Amino acid sequence: MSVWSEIRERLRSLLFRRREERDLDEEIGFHIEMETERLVGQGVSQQEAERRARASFGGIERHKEGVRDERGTRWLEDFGADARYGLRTLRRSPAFTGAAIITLALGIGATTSIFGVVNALFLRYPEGIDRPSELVRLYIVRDEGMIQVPSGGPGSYVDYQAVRSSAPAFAGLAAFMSARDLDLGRGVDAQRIRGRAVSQTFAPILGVRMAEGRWFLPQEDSTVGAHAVAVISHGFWERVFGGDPAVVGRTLLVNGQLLTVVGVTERGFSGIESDPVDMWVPFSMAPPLGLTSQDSRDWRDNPAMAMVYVVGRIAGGVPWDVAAQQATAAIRIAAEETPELDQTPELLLGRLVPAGQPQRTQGERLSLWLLAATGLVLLIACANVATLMFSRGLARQRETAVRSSLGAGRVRLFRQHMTESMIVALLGGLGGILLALWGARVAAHFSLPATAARLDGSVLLFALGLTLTTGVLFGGLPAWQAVRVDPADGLKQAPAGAPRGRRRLRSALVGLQVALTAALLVGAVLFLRSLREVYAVDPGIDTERILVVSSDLAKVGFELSEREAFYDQAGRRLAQMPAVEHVSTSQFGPFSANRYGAGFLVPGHGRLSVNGPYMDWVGGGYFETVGTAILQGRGITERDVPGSEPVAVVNESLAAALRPFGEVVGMCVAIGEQQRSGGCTRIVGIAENQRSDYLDSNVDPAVYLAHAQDPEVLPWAGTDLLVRTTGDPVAHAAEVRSALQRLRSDLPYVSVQPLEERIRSDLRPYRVGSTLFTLFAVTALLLAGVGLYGMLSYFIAERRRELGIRRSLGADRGTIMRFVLGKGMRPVAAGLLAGLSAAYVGVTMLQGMLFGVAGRDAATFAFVAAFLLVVALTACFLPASRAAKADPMVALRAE
Amino acid sequence: MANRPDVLQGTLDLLALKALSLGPMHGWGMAQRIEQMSRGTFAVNQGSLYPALQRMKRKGWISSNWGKTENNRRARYYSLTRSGNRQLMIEQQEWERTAQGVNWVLQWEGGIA
Repeated sequence: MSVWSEIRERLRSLLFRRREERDLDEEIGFHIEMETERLVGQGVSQQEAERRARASFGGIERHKEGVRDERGTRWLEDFGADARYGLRTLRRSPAFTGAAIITLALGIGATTSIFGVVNALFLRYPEGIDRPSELVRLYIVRDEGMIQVPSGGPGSYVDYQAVRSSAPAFAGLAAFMSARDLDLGRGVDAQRIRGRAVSQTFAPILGVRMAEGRWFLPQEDSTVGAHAVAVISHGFWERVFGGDPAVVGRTLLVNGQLLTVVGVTERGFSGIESDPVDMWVPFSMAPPLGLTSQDSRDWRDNPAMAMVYVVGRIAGGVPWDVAAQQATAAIRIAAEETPELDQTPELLLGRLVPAGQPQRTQGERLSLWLLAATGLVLLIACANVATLMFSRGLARQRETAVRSSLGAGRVRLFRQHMTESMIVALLGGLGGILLALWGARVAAHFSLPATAARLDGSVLLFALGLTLTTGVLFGGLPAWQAVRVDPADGLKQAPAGAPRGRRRLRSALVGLQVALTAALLVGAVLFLRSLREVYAVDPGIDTERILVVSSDLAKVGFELSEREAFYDQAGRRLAQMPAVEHVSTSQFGPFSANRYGAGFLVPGHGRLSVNGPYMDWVGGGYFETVGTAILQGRGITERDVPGSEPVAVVNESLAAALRPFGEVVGMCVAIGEQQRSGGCTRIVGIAENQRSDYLDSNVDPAVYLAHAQDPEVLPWAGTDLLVRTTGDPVAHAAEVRSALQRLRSDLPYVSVQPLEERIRSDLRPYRVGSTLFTLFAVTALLLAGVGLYGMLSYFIAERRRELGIRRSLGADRGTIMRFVLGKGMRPVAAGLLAGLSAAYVGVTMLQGMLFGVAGRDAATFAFVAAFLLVVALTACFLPASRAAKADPMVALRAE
Repeated sequence: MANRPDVLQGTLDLLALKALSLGPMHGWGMAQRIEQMSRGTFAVNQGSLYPALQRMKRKGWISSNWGKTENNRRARYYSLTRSGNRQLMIEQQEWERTAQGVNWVLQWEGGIA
């Protein structure tokens, strides 16, 4: 009750301040009239009565102030007054205000937009999942097998069952396969959707609810192919079926199988990875849909088939390392039954956020670098604005002194200064958020990882926090310094300039700013150079003009010979098109997520012990088509056909591993089956390394075989057609697609995709980010330069009077110039030395985050020093030459 | 006019609440009422009544309305709210305890053990 009256009264006071004031005047007037009347009634003269009435009331203004204080809105009114005063002051110096706001906006904007990316990667859980912080992904590190994933990857279904049955630290576990493209429908209307085979426990463990229908029943995940059911995502439901509830019970043709839709997941949920999924099917449907092989041993029983990913919910209160230990023990016991497998696999846990895996991908590291670089840029911005504020506070000491001698309290004055800083900070923050909105679009354009980096609540909160922090950072110290002045001292000072002590303080400030800027700039330049080094890595493949054409012919029942005939015909047809330069084929295609490794026997020396090597079966002209250079020997050609000698091309990494055994080109090695069946494959050439991972200096060994000589090797892997276009591949995609679809009417969906798109989105910035890099570098340099220039020229301009006196005492221009340069450059030199020394010591902490550049990189240090010296010299030279030229009398009279 | 002491520091709220418990009144009338009720012992510092009224209004002890006096003049009338009534009782008890204590101190005639 009392709280309400309190709020009501305060609100009324705020909203109806004018009326309240009028009422108060009337009330006091009434009081004095009544008192006067009473006195007149006692026989006092009217005039005397009025005087006495006023006297007994006491100071009217004082009591009015008392009432105002009691309204409890004082601080707000003061704030309003401060804000109005601050705005007026700021408007009076538009250059200062503009510079400060732009500086902050750039800093806050850059930091916020990069934080948006980091937030999406490291902090945001997928939507539609119940208590996601309890969920973990399980990554299995196994030191053998065909596919090596050092940071942990999928395990076998056997591993999953082992953890499920003997790791009580998990309240529940679910398994899923990697998301795959599925063909929906057939013919012209065929679509490609993303689908995933999952265990029946998937939705229950994640706590996913259904918008329509139901999730799979346990019995639907038992007998292979017995229950042709699917659950679709809310997004897919709306996109394709317009949100029609009658979709439950409908059958859809997927990869040639009829599936019955049994449910739709709740809005928001689209899987647990950033790549949204349209459809889930039970594991039992994976073989019929071609998501796993049908002919080999059932993938559920084969401990060597590492194709399931596992997610688990940790039982309440159990520490992660306990869960990881239990799970590791479980998979090790399971491994004992298969002696040919690694006996000491390890299981790592990761959070469910997109960047939750135990080892950072390069895109994630990139975004952390960018955040670090922009953070440093923001600090430079803050330092600049702070020193500007500081100098301004010194210049305004007289004003402060006047105000405080007129009775303004220190707290009040401090608040006044802070309000001004906060206005600048808030305007800068606003500009920063606008910049970040634009920056989010830029980031999406440059395909920074997790393209869904949007400005959500937490990013805006971050920006607000950043704004307030910067306000306190650059405003607090100057405000404190400004109000510390003794009013008497402040008033006594000659208006022309600060006394010696203040001057020393100001020199120290210049030095401090130079030191800070130098140290921060070294950091920023090192980060930016790391980025440039990354961009400069030669990928060994020309991604810009290549289309990848794929169509899953095996899935819809094309026989091998039919498929080969189609690729042949398609290749010839495409080669005739004027927009096409080269056509070739590849089993996996560059940057494919699927890789295949096989044993490699060097006759007379034994098995080659390297990762992989990873194999690909390619068509004639493959290397010319994708733009990979042949360093020695020749590539695969049309003449490498069945019946001729089997040939192979190895990449540089594999060539390096083979070199100890003799001349690589011409060597005959046993690959895969040949190790048992005899025979060998002749190495005819060495190709440049193709890199998909730019931060990893080790490129895995790879071997390219002639597809025509071994067409049957991997029946389950669809062949890709690679098309090198004369111009922008996107412009020719439709043309290529329709040309192919005219070849046969019964084709399933034909995907035509620029190779750029196929590169995992978090790898893309390395190729297109140079613009972003330049933008940041220019921003950092601009901020540092502008800040230093402003500070120094202000510092010199303050000495105009002194220079005038010296001039009138007979100093010539040369003397004046030397004097000014000496005064200005001394603190700069000292600051530079201090800042670079601090950076020299500090960079060791950054070393682990850099790429291709040493922390104590001499060029970086020299560049920063030279840059700041040039800026400082310019900033001193211009005002100095003006001072030297000016008529001394003008300078003296100026005050 | 004789020099009478001002209302004791801190008792103004109590006196004002008590004065209003007799019925709604405007500021000047309250000052008069308090003087009368104290039988002329002390005078209210008239101006300082208004900040006190504003404070009590904010705390919800009293409410105000514009009304007419007997002479048909516009004046702001204050009246006691229910929570003001409660407050009056609390302050009255507190005052009595304080006064009692002060009296005991002043009437002390024994020594200190």
